[in-house]
Parts: sequence; structure tokens; C-alpha cells
Amino acid sequence: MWLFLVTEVMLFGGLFVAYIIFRNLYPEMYHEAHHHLNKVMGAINTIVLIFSSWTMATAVGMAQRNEPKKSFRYMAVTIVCACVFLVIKFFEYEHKFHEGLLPGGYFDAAKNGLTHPKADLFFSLYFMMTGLHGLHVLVGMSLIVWVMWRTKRGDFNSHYYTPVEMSGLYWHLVDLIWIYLFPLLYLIG
Amino acid sequence: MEKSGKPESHGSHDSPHHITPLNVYGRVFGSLICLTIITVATSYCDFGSLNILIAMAIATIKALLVILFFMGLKYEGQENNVTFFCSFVFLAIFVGLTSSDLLYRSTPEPVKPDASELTMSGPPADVQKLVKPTPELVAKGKALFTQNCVTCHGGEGKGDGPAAAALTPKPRNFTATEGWKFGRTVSGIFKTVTNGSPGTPMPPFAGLSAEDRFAVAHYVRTFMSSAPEDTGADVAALTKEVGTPPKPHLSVERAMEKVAEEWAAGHPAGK
Amino acid sequence: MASTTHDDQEYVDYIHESKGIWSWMTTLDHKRIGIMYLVTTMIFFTVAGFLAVALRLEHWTPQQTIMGADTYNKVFTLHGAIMVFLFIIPSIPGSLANFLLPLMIGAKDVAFPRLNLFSYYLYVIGAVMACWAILFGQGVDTGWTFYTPYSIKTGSSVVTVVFAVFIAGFSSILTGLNFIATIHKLRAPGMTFHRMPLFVWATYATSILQVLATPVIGITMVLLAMERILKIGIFDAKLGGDPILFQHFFWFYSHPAVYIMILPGMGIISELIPVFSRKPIFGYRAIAYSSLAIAAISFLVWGHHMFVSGQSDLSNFIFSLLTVLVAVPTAIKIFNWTSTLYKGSIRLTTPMLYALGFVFLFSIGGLTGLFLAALSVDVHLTETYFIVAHFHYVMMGGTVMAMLGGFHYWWPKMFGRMVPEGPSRIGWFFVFTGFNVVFLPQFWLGSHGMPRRYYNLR
Repeated sequence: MWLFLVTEVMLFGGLFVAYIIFRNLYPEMYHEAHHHLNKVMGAINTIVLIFSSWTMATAVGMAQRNEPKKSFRYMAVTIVCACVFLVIKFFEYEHKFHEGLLPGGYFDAAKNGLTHPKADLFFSLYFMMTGLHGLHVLVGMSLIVWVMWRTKRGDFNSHYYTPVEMSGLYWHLVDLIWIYLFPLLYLIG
Repeated sequence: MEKSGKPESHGSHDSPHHITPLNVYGRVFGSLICLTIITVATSYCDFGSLNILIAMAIATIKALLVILFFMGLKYEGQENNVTFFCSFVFLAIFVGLTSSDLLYRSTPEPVKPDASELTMSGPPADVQKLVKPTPELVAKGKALFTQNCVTCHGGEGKGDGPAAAALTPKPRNFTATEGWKFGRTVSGIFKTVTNGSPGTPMPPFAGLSAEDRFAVAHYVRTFMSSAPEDTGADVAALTKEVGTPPKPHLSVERAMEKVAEEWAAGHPAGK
Repeated sequence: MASTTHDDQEYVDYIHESKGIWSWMTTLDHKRIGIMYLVTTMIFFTVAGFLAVALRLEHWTPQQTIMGADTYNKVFTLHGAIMVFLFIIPSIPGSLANFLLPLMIGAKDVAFPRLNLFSYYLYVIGAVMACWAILFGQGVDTGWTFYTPYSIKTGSSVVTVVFAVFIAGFSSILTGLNFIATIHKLRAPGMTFHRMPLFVWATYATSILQVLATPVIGITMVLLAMERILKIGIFDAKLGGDPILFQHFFWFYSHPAVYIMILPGMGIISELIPVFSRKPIFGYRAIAYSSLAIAAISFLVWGHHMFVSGQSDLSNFIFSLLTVLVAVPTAIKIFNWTSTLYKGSIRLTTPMLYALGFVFLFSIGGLTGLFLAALSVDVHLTETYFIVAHFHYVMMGGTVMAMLGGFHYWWPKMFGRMVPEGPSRIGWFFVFTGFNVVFLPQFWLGSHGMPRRYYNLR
């Protein structure tokens, strides 16, 4: 799984490279554009995701300690958090659509008043990065649901809980990516 | 996607994997929340270029907490540590070398345009004099013709030059009497040479001075058996036209400079 | 061979241990998966080979011979894309490494056998998608490099093919992942790293490249698809992006990719030469570490594909300098192989002929690569047939020779039959001679200015 996480780092890394390059080319544009992102929603999402990482780590801990029922419950909380994250994201996206803050060719400056000619780039990156991240949230959720099902079936004990741990690692990576996405997109301009 | 059965940390035997105490998780969670609050708070203050450094430093601390404790890398063997952190090394290479291109493209010095640059070379021509053929003009015209026109119009002006095979419509046969768009007078040929013939492969030769173009026109007329003459009205009109400066026209070098200058204006941080 | 101790069961080999196509399609045996890769990759080699023949036929006359300009563009694109993504990259890792790696380190199978099968199916799905685009879509006419801005604007089936590449890329990633885990975790007791056969070292280096580099082509393909579908603008100058950024993204993978192509081949040569010189390999550690060094340095040099793209002068300088470094570990290998031959008892069997052919042809290809690493030379030779000759010498004169040598050498192991020596030597002769006849003149053609990817030259 660690090897697979390496590939995920490289995959997202490409997007971060693009972000860094364009940021260095157009710093004022980033500054102007990022104000159109809702910091509060972003911060709440950050806290939700960190909390879900905590519950997932605890779920793994419970599996290690031969407590499948508790493990199951902590994983369930993790899933709830993930859903909350996605719902908030949905509202953010909806808001963007209304403001015409869309990628590239669909960017509508008339609706949002951003005058920089390259402003659409910021939102292209925003949607690509958060979109790919959201996709990974969904994948992570499916993994956790699968592991929850296996837990209920009694597949795991303190000698064998590898799938729980592996899904946990994947989930933590999803959190890790968000830990960088949040300041880069929402906070710094 | 197969995720089960990845014996990363404990080979083929079930060695006891380090069990992190739950209060460690709790404390890590607490720290992460504090750090999040700090990073959001600092984003409301303006520390200039420090903001990004602070944000990235905090993000990295949070990331390390997640990696070392939630993901348990602190308790993993060297293999997994090296593997995971290796990926960031290569990412850094990717960023670094790509930046060496994208951020270090050179921008040429912006050049202020000069009104006089936008006009043609040379003062307005003396049309009354040039409209009459002289041996010097015809000789000059022949030299220019050989250089610029023979490829299409042929050495004998019959419109049968080497390039003519590929052209549609075919280049003008100067010995023919029919089919001339602008007429066979000096002014007519002068106009054709100056403006080209739109819709045909004949290009404008406005880069040649007016005198040169008159010279060519006179030479072309030597291919004709009975060349018509300009009327007084034709000459008057031509004088008016040629006497005034032509429409602004840029040389290729100047055009390239202007493109570079416009690009630079749109990419202020290109250095 | 030997029967088991507690009953009279006769040994049945992996080919005959179960019958029927379903048993093959659901196998978890690395040997069967290796054979399936072998068959599939050779099919695509043949397909792309026919496309190449078509290209050569078109150049029989300076005017149109058998195809129009548009078709020509599609044919050379597909020749490249199929050869790179559906043949060379999966070929040796998928077939020979899959088959031999566990055997060479004393493991029962790879670390994740189901993942192995899944990798094979991902490859097949990617291949089918690509074929779909060719047969029922518009094909692709951008060149296998998919350079923007043309790849954004063209009406051909770019999105289908880039998704096919994305999926096939995952096959490569998961294979690499599998092999690293296998080498780290499943070596038999006593099989230390420094006792592993050099083919295993080569596979290890290749797998690291696959895991680190391939995700970047993944995201690049996604970004290109998004650029076409959603017009995100990241590569489109009109929307604020930079077309050269695409080239950076593309070559960050595709340069390590060419080392994914050659390293396993070098591993095979490291196995063949000692055997047929009856001598231990000269400089085991040097060869082992140079494989890793090639892998590491390969990440630093991608910009040498972009010397005339318009990237900054600083980049050009850096990449030219770094590129010459990669010649060092490569040269170490060549010297070591040659030193192994010295005072050896050489038998010119077919595998040895291929191995010696490799050393000769790869040296030519590699040296011409060094010419091209020099910025000032590359500026003149780029996009000419010199480049075409260079990469065919390393990829075909290199990898394909090594692969054929490997197939001949390990054929008895894989299929229980000896390869008839006479006919296979004749085969070698045709491969070697034919290859040189086609590609050697291209060095001259290129240095005299013949451009590549041109439909005809009048």
C-alpha cells in the first residue's frame, strides 16, 4: 500500500506542479481569485476530514485490539464525516456555478467580476484538484464500506486486520492531500 | 482494485505490529485542530510573502503528524519510510526543473514604437517624371524583374515560369492583350505591382520603392507589342495616390518586435 | 519430473495442469500470466509492424503512393503509440519478468497474484479501447506524443486513446508495484540482494521507474482529456495556459519510460553474456548499481526532448548537461559486458548472437543519443530522421534484440522444448541485417535534413 501511495503522490503531484508554476507566473491573479473561495466552508471541511482521519485511525486501533464492534462504529463515523465533506463540497461547487467561476472555456467573467485575463486558470486548477480529490474520497469511502462489511462478517482479529490498516492508510492519504490543498487554494493569495 | 493482502510491514509471518496507544491518536487530533485554527487565523493577517511560507510550514507539520502517527510510519521499517519520502524527492525534481523553464523564459526589452517607423522607406515619388520610360528605368526594371518576377512570369514574360505550373490562376502572360485586371497602362501595372492581385497568387510588392515599381512596370511593358498609354487623368490620380504616404506598413523585423512586446505586456512576471 | 513423496501423482507442468480457456483467463500463476502477456504483446508488435511497413511503402515515391496525408498522420501516430504503450513497455516486464522473477529469487509466485492478473486485464482493456478508437473512431493523428495545441484542436479520437493509455498505464504501475513487493519480501532465505541475478536487479530498477513515473502520464492524459472536454485551459495559450507545460508533463514520464523499455533488455544481456562466455559477469555490483543509477538519472533529463520547443535557455542548458550524465552508467554496463567476453569461451548460439547484436546496435544507438544530448547538435538534428534512427537503434536494436535473445534462451524453460538452432540463426541473420538496412541509412538521411513525420517530400 505504501508503494501505491507513492503513485498517488506522483499523480496529485502533477497537479501541484501545475499550480506552483502558474502561481509563480500570475501571483496577483491567484490572490484575487482565491477570495472567491469560501474560507469558512474550507476550514470546516478540513476539520471534518481531520476528525475522520482520527476516527479511522481509532477504528484500526480497535481492530488491532480485537474489538470488531467498536471498529465498525468508528468506521461508520468516518463514513458520516466523509459524507459531510462531500455535501459541503457540493454546496461550494453549486455556488461556483452560479458565479460563473468555472474552468477555462466556461468561465463567465460577467457573473463574477474577475478581470484578470487568466483568472479561469485558477478555477480550472481548483476544480481539477478538488475534483480528483473528491473522486479519491469516494474511492476511500467504498474501501471503508467494504472493510466494514468484512468486519461485520468477522473476518478480522488482532492477528489479521491488514485490509483495515490498508484502507486506513488510503484514507489518511486523502486527508493528507486536503491538508495541502486547503491552504494552497483557500488561504494564501 | 485489489487492496487486501498487502503484507507491507510484516512479511509472511504475523509479527506483532506496533499498537499505538489511543491517547496518542487523541493528542495528534488535538494538535491538528490547533494547527488548522492557527493557519486559518494567520491567513487573515498580512505578512506579505511570509504568508505562504507559514501556511506551507504549518501544512507540512500537520502532514508529518498524519504520516508518522495516524499512518504509523514512525513505527514502520526503513523500507516504507524511504519509499514514501522518495516520492516527494521526485516530485521536487519535477517542480524544480519544470520551473527552470516556465519561470525563466526571457522577455525581450520592450521597444517604444516610433511614428516614423510606420511609414514606407523613401520620400514620395515624382510621378510625372517616373511615368515616362527611360533606358535607366527599364534596365533597373529588368534587374528587378529577373530577381522577383521571372519565377512565375517566365524570362520572356509569357507567364510560363517554373513556378507557374502550381499556380491558379496562371501568371499573367505579358504578351497577351486580353484579361488584364488593372489594364496595361503604366499606372495599371504600377497598381498591380504595388497591391498585388487579390484572389490570385500575385503578391503585393509594396516593399519596393515607388521608383522601383515604376521601373518594373516599364520593363514589363517592353513585352507588349502595342502598349496603351496613360491618360492625363490617370497620371493625375496616380500622382495623388503615390504622392501621399502609403498606408502604414511594418517591416518583418519590426513586426516581430511588436509581437514580443505585446507578449511581454501580457506576461509581466515572465522574468 | 519428481513425483511428490506421499502419493504417486505425476508432475504436471503449468501448461497442462489445467485445461480450457477459462482456466487460463482466471489463472493466478505468474507463468501463465507471463505467457498471456507474451502472446498479446507480440500480436501488437506485429500490428504496429505492419503499420511501419505501410509508412515505408508510402515513402517509395515522393508523391502519394498508398495513402493520403491525413491517413499518414494517423498511421505513424498509431505505429508509435502501439509500439510504445502496447508493445515495448509491457513486453519484457510482462512476459519474461513475470515468468522468471519469482523463479530467480526462489519465490512461489509474485507478491500479489490477483493483482498480477488484474494488471494483465487492465492492459487488455487499454489495448481494446485503443483498437476501438482506431477501427470505429477517427484514429489519432497527433503523433504518439500528443503535443498541444494540435491535440486539443484535432477532430480525431484523442480522448478515447488517452484514456486507453491511462488504463494501460495502470497496468504498468501495478506490475511495477507487484515486482517491488516481490523482490523486497519474497526472496528465499539466503537470497540476499547481492546474490540476486542481474535480471532481477534490472527488473527492480524498471519497477521503481514504473511506480514513480507512470502516474504522471496518468495525470497528463487526464488533463489533456479535460482540456478537450472541459476546456480547462491549462495547456491552451488562449485560455491562459502553456502548451509547453504539456510537453514537460508528457516527457517527465516518457523519458523514464524509455528506460523502462531498455533496462529489462539490459538485464537479459547481463544474463546471456556470462552464460555463453562460460565466465562470471565482470563487475556484478557495478552493473547492479548502474541499473539503479540509470533509473535515478532518467528523472532528471526529460527536457532534452524539448530543446527546440521554446523552453527557456536556462532549462536547455541544465537538461543538456544532465543528459550526458546518463551515458555514464550505461557505458559502465557496456564495458562490463565486453570485459566479460574477454578470455571467455564464447559459443555463438542464437541467444548469444542476439546479445552481441544488442551490444553493437545499442552502442550505436546510445552514442548517437550522446550526440543529441549536445544542445547545439540537437537543434539541427531534431525532428529529422536522425532521431528516428537513434531511437529505433536503442529500442529495436536494443530492447527487441534482447527480448528475442531472451525468448530463445528461456524457451526451453517456458515450453519444455529446445529451439532448433539452425533456423533460429537464420532468423537472427534476417532480423539483424534487415534492421540495419532499414535504419542505418536514416542517420545520413536525417543529418542531411530529411524531416520526420512528413507525408511526402517534393
